Amino acid sequence: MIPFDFEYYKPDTYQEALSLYQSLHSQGKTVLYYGGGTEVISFSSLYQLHPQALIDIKGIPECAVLEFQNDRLIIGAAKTLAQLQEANFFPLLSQCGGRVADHTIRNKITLGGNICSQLPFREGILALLVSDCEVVIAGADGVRREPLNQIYTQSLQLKGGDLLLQFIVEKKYTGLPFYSMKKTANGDVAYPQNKIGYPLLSSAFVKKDGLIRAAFSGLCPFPFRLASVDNALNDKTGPTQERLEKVVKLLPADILHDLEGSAAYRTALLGNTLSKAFEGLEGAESLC
Amino acid sequence: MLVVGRSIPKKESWYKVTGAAKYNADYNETGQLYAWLVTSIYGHALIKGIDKSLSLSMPGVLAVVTGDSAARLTGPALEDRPPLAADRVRYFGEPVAIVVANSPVQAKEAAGMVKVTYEPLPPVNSITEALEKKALLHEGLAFYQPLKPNDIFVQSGSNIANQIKIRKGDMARGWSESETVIESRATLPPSVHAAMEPRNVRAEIKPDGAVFIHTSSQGPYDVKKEISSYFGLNESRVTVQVPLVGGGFGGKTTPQLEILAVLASQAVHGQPVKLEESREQDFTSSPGHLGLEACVKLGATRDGMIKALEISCWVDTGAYTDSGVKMARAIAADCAGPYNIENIHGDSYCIYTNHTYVTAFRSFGRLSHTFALERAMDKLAYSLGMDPLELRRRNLIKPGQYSATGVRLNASNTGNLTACLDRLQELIKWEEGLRIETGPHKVRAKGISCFWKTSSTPTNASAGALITFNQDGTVNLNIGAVEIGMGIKTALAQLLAEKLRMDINKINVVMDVNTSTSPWHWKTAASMTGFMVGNAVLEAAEDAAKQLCRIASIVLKCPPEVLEVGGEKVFLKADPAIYVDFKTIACGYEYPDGNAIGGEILGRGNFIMHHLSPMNPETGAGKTGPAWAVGAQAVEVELDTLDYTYRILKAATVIDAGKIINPQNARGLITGGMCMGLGYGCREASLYDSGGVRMNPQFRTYHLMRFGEQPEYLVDFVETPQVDAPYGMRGIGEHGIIGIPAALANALSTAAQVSLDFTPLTPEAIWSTKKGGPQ
Repeated sequence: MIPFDFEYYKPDTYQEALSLYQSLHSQGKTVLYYGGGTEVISFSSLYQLHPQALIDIKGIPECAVLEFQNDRLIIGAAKTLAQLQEANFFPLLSQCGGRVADHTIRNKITLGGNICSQLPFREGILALLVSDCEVVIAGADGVRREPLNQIYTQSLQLKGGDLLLQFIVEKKYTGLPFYSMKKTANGDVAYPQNKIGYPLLSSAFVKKDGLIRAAFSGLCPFPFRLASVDNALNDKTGPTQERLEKVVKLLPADILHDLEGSAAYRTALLGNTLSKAFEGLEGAESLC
Repeated sequence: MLVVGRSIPKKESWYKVTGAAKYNADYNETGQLYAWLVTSIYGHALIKGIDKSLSLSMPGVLAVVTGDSAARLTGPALEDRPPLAADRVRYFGEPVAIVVANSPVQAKEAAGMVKVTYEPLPPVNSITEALEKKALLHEGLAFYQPLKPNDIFVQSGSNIANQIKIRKGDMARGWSESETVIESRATLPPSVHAAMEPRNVRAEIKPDGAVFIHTSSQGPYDVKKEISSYFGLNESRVTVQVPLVGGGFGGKTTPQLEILAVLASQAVHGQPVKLEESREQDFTSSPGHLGLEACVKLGATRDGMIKALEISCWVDTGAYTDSGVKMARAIAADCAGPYNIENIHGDSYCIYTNHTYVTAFRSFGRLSHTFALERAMDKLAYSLGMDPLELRRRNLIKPGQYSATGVRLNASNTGNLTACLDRLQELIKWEEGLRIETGPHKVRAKGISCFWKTSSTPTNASAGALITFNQDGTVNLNIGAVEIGMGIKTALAQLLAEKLRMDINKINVVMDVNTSTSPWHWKTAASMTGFMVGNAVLEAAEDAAKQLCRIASIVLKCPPEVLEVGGEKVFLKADPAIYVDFKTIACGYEYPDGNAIGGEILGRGNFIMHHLSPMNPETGAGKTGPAWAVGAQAVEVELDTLDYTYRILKAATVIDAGKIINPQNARGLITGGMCMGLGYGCREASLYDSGGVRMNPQFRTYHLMRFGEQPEYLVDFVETPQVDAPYGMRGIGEHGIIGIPAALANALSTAAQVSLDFTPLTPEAIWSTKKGGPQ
């Protein structure tokens, strides 16, 4: 039960959404774009969030696209994680998103909402970070396309009022050989999902042109992919243990140490995961 | 048998599977107001002031109730708990005030506006800190009123609310006969019941002062008693009604919210008030499951005969005793487990901490104690170089031997545990070996545990049953047993159908319990409902049959002794073709000329516990329950020895159920118990930070087992009748949980080759223990 009143809007176009945002914002209101609502509802009920106005983006046509256009996969920000799994156009994304929460909740959680989550995990983004994804954003200056890796540092760097419309992934990335694993306080999460929990370590690895790219969630207070980490992973000159140590030194923040698990255990899981990923991707080549 | 022993679908199943079943919070009263709790944000603090002015000025707010209007202390064994904290809070989540408003949203919003000023105190965050007296939680401990004399042994000037002693045999002799001695410690955290239905209540005070309560409770009659005593009403002025309850697991056995709801109704001139807890409040404000620390020392001969047991158990009862004092006693009574040990020195303590207070939880403390004892059994087996199953088999208690409290055992009151263990051995394929490497970094291992549990009811616990008839000869069964999901109403209908030899579909069981119209039943707890209410139902059935035969004897012109009931008829034993239908006589018999005799048949039955006695304060001698249910359990795991994640492959239980009334249902109960035990064993814990603040008060962070993680469940039964129980049945509702955490720890200890003497057994905890790191 949300113990306060808020305004709710459901515009039909992104232009309308933007102008609503501007006008509500200029009235001094806390405005949030609204996707599946799982965080807005559960956080608001505990006073961890206090929006005064919500703009539901599910009626915006651009946000509801899910299809290949030419050689590109277009994913609307309001597509739910369950819809992405069902369509399965991008198996790595199906897996990364398909181990978030449980199926009932994934019927609500949108990819855009997952990536803009206030929680530190946002596992849907892992598949996008290793796929040279582009992000379509509607802002005050019109609609723009930006490479995800350029506008993502710790979180999507959006300006106030910016509305996330779509993700674009080139088809060739959707068929790359991959390895993905989610480890929680209660063990590994299989795919299709057999258990639920926040990740101690969730990871996505792909092999492109003989080189491994990796993105991680649960390890640091935000998901990340770093070129320096990729380089260290692909540097096969030393033993695996040395590569692990190098990776740990390159991490963008201290390893999380919380209720779910210690930093030391997360480090151990990282080592085991890297070994498994190398093993799994050894000799694998792109199918596209 | 016609009906007993058949898997009759539960009477309420169609309601449940179609969503038509209604639980307490589904009902609303005309003119109903809504209450929301203001709860403590500290684990331990003084309340320096409560400013309710802002809250009272909020729209729709009618009253804010604070602790000064609830000055009396309450508690089911020791009156130590203020329903609303007045000058001091002792746990995070403790109710401090109640806001009553026109709508739930207004009540919740205004609850956030009650300004409570606290002065934090150092919290007692563990049993160790409690024993070190980091703070004294109850300075007035010596002055608290126990409900019964000589029942609770408080230690004033400490945080010890009760101590129970077991002194059996001669310890010096026991140790001198022991060639091997092992010691073991176990630590288990508090947890929550996590019933699907959070606790909730509605209360109304009528203009004449009569109180009506609708609640989700396992103990409606205790609610009636508590409310009448607290508010100074005679019991006829209090009516408590309970519909289907969405899971209890012991968490709904003692009154809590009911008093608060009546206080809230009082504040608004008796209008009906609905008080529902959010999941977070259910987890923190209402009582949870105990934590335990235990030390076990076992001595045995070289061939594995146990000669001595020294055991100390400290129950973390949280801020108040509630059922904690009784669970400490129950643990003491069953402390030797189902083993024949002649020399025992046991101490069981109930310890105050700044955790959420505890109440009954499935097994009433036995699962925690069994964990400690069964880990010690495995260590003894290891130290003797003996198969752990064989060690247990050699020591199983048998007829003619005596329990820790001096009860002489026989087949009826104990059953056949050897048969259970034999069957378990086959079921779990013990001969495959305890530990098998199945691949690189993969190990499969098995662990076992035996268990027993008797009840710990009051020595005069009682139950009643009332049978009435409809004009077409169908039957109504009215009993005080609450349907919590275990199928008790159906099982009782089966007993009645069997006794009257009639079609169970012609028996209507009254689903709700209403304390004004349903016969008294102590409470739906302790796995004793089938036994107690069942005996009352059989007596009521006999009473009804006797009355039916008397009327029929007039109609059929014969003495009643030559008649028998069956198939909704009363017939001549010698010639069943001569009969009269129930419908002709059950509501009075009318002669062809219109004259009538008889009247409605009212079948009455009751049952009261007999030959139970309180435990002797110095030795523990006494009889706490009529019988035990015994069993053996096993868990098989596959462990990854790299990061210590594991899969639970199998969980098995063989229990001596006396006589199975409803096979599918019994299987479901045992399986549910195992599932709950696995969840507690592998991941559940209520976690507190150094300030005593609960860190995981919601399902986001409090982990339960999910459907996809369930192992293969194996259940089998042995049937050794309990002769004084309905058709020989034993209460088994709780028992599926008891040995499972222990069996899981034994399996994982074997797999990881390290002693795992704690729960939750998370992969990280195993990894950390294996590395010798901090635990």
